[in-house]
Amino acid sequence: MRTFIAVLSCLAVIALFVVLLPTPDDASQQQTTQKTTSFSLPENGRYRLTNITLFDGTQWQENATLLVEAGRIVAPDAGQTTSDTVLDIDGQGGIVIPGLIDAHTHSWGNALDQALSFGVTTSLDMFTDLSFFVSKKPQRNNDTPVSEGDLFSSGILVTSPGGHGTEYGFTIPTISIPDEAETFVANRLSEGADYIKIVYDATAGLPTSRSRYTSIDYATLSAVVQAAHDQQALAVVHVMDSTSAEDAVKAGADGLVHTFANGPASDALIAAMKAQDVFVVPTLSILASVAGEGRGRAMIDNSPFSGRLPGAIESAIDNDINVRGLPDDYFLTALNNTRRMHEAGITILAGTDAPNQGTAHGISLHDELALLAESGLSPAEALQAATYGPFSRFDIGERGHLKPGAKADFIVLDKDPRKDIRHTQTIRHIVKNGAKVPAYFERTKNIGSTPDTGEISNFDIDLTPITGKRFVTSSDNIMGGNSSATLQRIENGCNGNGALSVKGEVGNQFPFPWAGALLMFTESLDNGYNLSQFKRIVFDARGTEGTFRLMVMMPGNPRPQERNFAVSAKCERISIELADFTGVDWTNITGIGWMAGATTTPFTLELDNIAFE
Amino acid sequence: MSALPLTPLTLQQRWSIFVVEAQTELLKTFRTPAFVIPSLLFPIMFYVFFGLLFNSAGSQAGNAAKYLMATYAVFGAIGPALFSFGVDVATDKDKGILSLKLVSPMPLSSYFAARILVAMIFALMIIMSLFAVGAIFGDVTMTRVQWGATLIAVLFGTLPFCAIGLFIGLSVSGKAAPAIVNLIYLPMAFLSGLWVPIHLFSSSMETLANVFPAYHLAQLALGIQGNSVGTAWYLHAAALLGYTIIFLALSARQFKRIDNRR
Repeated sequence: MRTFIAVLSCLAVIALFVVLLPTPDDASQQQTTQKTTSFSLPENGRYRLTNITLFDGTQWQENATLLVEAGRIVAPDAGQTTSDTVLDIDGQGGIVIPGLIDAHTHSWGNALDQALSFGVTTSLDMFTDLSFFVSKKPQRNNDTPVSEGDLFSSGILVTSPGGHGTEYGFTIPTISIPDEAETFVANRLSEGADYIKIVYDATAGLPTSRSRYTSIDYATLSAVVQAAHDQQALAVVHVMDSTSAEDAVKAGADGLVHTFANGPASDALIAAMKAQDVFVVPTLSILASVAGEGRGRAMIDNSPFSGRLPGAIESAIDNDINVRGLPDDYFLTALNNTRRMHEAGITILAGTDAPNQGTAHGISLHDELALLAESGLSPAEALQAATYGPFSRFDIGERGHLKPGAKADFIVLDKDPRKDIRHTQTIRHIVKNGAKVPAYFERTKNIGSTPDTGEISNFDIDLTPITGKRFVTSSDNIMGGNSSATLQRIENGCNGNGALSVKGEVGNQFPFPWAGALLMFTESLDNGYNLSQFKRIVFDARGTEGTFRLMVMMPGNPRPQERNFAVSAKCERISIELADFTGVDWTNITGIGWMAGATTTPFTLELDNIAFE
Repeated sequence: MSALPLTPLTLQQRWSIFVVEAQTELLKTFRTPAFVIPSLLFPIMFYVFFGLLFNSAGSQAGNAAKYLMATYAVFGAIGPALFSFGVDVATDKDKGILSLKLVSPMPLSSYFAARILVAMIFALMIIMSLFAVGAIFGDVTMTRVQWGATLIAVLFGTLPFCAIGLFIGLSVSGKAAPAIVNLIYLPMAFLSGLWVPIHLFSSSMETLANVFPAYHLAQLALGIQGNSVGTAWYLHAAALLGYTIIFLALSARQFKRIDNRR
């Protein structure tokens, strides 16, 4: 009996020990969910947010209130509002910061919508398709509720024929000599550009250069900067090395839109930047991707975003560019250059260069802030780099702060970013033009329709698929490339009856060439099929010996994911496991493509008996 | 001479014998501070060096500390199991104590059960102190279920190592046993990723780790906190069960050989 009691008390002690061990803050998480549901803002857009800690862009205020009317912040003592007509909204102790500004993006498609879902309420674009910019520009003047972030842009960038910026498959005007500068800048501004972005590489054409692009020369750079200033426009310069940075500052640029990692910044450069008050947007996010730092993966695995990100965003940030053969300290150099510029008192602005590989709109800016903190900015300074900093340097209206008159663009956070800048990731609510907009974790997930069968076609009768809409040719000629493909049904397929034959050529004018057959699941590229119940895709193939690619298209993600498969002159059954694709959300797939590789040109490819299993 | 009447032992009697045996075994062990103190301190010391100091350098607070808390718990727990069986059984065998126990009316199962209990008590002390250090100094947080499941998994995960220890103890002399146990224990601990996270290894070494039971136990413990390499937990559990059965069978064979010799 005594032993029994002894054993029992030992077990009790162990149980007590386990109960005392720390658990994740699940109590507060539950609270947060409750708060989320009870937080609603009045439709007339007039309310007073109370019980908050407020960062207005320059100053912190505990136990603050924020008065919002018709999409703008108004002064608490503004005569026309009396307390009995204003609805008080309990901010539940949240931390309110201005909506964030990403000072270096390239925007198209759903960029502004995606940015807003992470609290990036304004994007300063550094080169986009003009038609996109023109279509989005007017809504930034709205103070009524909108579903996208605001866009400012340089429109078309300033580059030389064959320079960086000309490789994206649509023709853009270029500049060759200084004399063209005035007209060139005037044309950009008349197209609606908010500022002038110039691409400059002093090392282009040198035997040591690894770049495949040309560049404008120093005289042209200088003339363009001068022309911009003459026409009251800001001139910012894309540089990727120290010499170009020195030239850009010498030419009178207002800002550099990248830092560089080819070597330490010279004292002379830092002194000149300080003297001329040149700002810098280091875009550490894209440099981290170039260096393969795995920042996106870390956010997926271990951050407040973990487990809540849409698949398309996960796949976008999970694949760093990871350039081979860079020095080990490449990224450290970029951090150190940023640190030294900051210590010298040079204005640092937060920008990501999203959606270049390894980055995505919105989410990457939160990581950029963390990287700025790693380069020595205090959390409050990093926060300013994405709020008051861009407001004071770019002509973007009353954005980036929450003083009276400003746009009511703000984020309510759970935790205080002064303690740790990564707390900007603890988003509770996002408010744009005074109205609550759904954050990324509040979006309803778009799941495609489930097909009746996994069978695609055996092409015995015609090319109409059983599952899916139709087969089409697809090649990079839609992006200005010179690849081509044709589709045709042939009688003698792999087992004697019909098959799909694809013939074509892979060109060399587009940097990422493709050509082949695409199976579209629906007519729209916004919604597709839910294929998550299938394990693999199988098909018979024969054709030009070599490696082909199976591409998977997803809505909202311009970059298809692909897996290689080998083809020979003999019919072979090919089976590709769906689980082998990384970063594909199989619940919504818009299409599957069978594409030739660069080594198989000109090519033929016969496909038969395609099915998902 | 008349034979004593052979009445089978009642359950009550078996229990009392087991309690006495366990008490003496425990007393004997705790009277050997040279065994107790290093067994308890070694894993904690390693954990503080590698788990906590590494952790403070990393950017994700608590994660490395959590990961290594599980692997060092495994490291700490399997040590006493291997030594208690490997070394002590070998010594008992050499000194003839094992033979003495065999001819005594005590069921031999009590002898082994008492040893298993002692090994588990040690494992428990080590696991609890690692939990405490991890929670207090490493900012480790887990749900109650995760804490409890980790404790139980590692505790019962010592069984295969008891079986391995037993086989060693029955196979080699008391003098050779400590050397042999260390020769197996330390390299296995390293190659199973108990000291350094397994994903820092090359993929061939990662594959090689599959042959070690310690790897499977570590993956089982890491799976609870969601940090395993991804293989299903029941495969690791099955591997551990397999090791237990194999080494128990080998031990049984070895045991018969001693029996015949003496």
